[in-house]
Amino acid sequence: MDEEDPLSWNIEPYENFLNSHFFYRAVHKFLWKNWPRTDKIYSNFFSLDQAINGLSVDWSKYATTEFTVNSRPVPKLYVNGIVKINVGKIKIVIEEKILPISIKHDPIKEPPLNRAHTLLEGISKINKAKLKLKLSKIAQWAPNMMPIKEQV
Amino acid sequence: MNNKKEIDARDLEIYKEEKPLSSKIDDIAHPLLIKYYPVKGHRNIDINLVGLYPKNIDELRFSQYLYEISPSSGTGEIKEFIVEGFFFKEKLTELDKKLREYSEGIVGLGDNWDGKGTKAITIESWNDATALLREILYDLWYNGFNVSIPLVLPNTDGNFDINWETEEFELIITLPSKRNELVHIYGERSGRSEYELEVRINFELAKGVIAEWMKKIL
Repeated sequence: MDEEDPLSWNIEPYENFLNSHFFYRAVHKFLWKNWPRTDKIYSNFFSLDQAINGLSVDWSKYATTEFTVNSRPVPKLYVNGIVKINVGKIKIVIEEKILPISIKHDPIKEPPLNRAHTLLEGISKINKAKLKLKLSKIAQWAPNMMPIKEQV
Repeated sequence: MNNKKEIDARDLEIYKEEKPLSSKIDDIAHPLLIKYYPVKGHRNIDINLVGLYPKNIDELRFSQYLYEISPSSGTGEIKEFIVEGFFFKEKLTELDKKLREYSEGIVGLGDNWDGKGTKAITIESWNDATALLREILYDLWYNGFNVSIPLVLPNTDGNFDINWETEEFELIITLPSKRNELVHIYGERSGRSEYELEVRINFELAKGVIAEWMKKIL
């Protein structure tokens, strides 16, 4: 979605994450298809990604919800929904709960390119249960990105 | 005890439910259930079978109880007795139903089920999670705590979350896919920060910690 040379992408500092910004995260159907309410946000939407030692999200400064869903192997709402988390609310959770979380811009400069890629770092074995619960409270389905259950 | 119920021994029928969950899931720790069909007009003899705990009762033991009772009944007049603390069959049925729904199409998924590197959701880790959940619920229900059935949620890293979200409290238990790793527990009672629970603990100790915390806050 960006015409610039990816090698010119800088890692942006924390202060560039404005309170009005959002993070987007795709949530696969196996994480929601069996639960009683599809409109609800559950804690398991925020389990750690194994390979990158952090919670992977897309930053709204460089991404749209469409970009995030289209980055999935199956970009369909019956397979992936997109949740959004307000950056200002994350900062409040970090401050009020004294969680050692940091927001780190982490653009991916190799295919598949993703200038929006950001990590919530500091999620550890000690605090991950608490953090998942807190994130589930402040996240919402992005507009028009709530998943659709397949009719059996 | 809160769960006292009068039944007719003649009408007891002990059985094990056949595979209460999907065929992929074993029924470890699944209790025997008791069917009964009350017959009116018979004299009641109160015999307390105190301390029957679902996880400990088995068909042999229960047959022994019946054997012991029957000779004293002479001609068979004495048929009734009281069982305490063993009547949450409806809850057990509901638990089986919900676990079956939660697991359907998810338990048994291999690695990379989302095409982005997720970990397998194994039958073994499901069995661990649901065995712990059953132990917690049996303890609470047996002791008269009317706790709802939580969600059992898979994670992208192969772990399971057991998640209660009620008006009174929230509790999340993250169970590792390997049993030798620690269970993560975080709980809050609504409006009472002094009851916050945040621990990492061995699987074998988790049930005790969770059940005691819930008894304390409820």
